[in-house]
Amino acid sequence: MKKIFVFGAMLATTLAFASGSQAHHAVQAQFDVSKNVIFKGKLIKVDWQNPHAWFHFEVTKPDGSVETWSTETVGPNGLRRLGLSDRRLFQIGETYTVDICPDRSGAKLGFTNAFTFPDGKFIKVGFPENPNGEIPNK
Amino acid sequence: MRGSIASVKTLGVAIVALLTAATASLAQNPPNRPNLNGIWIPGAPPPPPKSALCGEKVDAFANDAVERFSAGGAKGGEKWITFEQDCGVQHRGRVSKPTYKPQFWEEVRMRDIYANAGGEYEKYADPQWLNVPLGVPRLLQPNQIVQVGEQMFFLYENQNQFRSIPTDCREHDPVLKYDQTVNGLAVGCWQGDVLTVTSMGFTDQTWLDWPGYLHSNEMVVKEIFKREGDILIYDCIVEDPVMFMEPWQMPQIRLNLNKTPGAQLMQDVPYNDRSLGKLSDPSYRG
Repeated sequence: MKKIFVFGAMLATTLAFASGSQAHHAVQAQFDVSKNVIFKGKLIKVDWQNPHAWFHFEVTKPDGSVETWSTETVGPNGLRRLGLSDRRLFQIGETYTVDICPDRSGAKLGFTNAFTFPDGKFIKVGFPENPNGEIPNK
Repeated sequence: MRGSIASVKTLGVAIVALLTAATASLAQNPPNRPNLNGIWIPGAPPPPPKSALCGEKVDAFANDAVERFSAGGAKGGEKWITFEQDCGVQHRGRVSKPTYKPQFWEEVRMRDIYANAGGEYEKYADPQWLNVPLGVPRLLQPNQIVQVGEQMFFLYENQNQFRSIPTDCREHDPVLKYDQTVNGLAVGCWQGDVLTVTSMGFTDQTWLDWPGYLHSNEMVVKEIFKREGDILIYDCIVEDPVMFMEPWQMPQIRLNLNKTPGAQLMQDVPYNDRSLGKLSDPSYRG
């Protein structure tokens, strides 16, 4: 089993505070939360911004073609509370496995459920499909 | 040479004396006044219920936060549905909400419905999507308070905002109280161990909360601070003689003093919304 960082309580706390008075839309307003997509991609850019940080990846398909996938997360302050604001954690050019809920329009966008770092560390920032933190084979 | 050294020494002593006196006069808090200095974080427990009567409200949201996510067999990202729908229903279902005069409810509803739509409905957009600061009172409680004599500085993590507030019970400036800013012109006044900060001079471009709660620029906001041990109790009353039937008392917020050694308020990062007008279902607010 991959090493898991359980941030459930912190996540709930973060979301509860974040949803207080701030402008927001439901995740399912843009993303299909009934689906999980897991891809492995090379990190090419991080947008560390409010109200949500975005991570951009180059994903090489089996036929050799390359797609760019972008995935949204909770806001930078929420990520900070999850211990993810350390810039050394996300290295441009490194390969990450990302569990997302895909965009409902079919665009190559998603809302992040979990990151698996190059060293195998598994960190959930949303609700990954497997509550034990193991990435299912799809 | 010796004379000039003596002069420098005398000057130095004079400067130190002046600085000390100035600092002392600034930093001296009147006796028996509560000290609100510190970083304050939400989450302090509510007071114990006075009695366990039938029908008493129970915060089931907090009690069952984790189990709720899995309701109906929701798995993975599906848990967002449970979480967000309940958050939205709970938020809209609050007993405490502004009571508008009848002619303003249509506008409130339109803003609530089209807050995230953009495009032809952008005039109803939540101002935060348009990078307008939240503003008082939507900004809620300060994250850090610096109290120096008859002066308060409220520091906010959200968009790195600050408010400088004299607490000497002065009258609001007769001209500046008609200014038009997101946080208004604030003046504080201690009554016993309770601090009331009254703000006016607002723009009408901000909202009070995300369900489309608008306000006029005649709004007056009273924020009331009371410290009980290491808990800071924050109450806020919004008066709007133009739009409200009656003053609105916002839900009370109870804060814990952050006692973590070395705790430090962090900076916020820029705001760059990508959602307005681009959502598959903008009415799905949750």
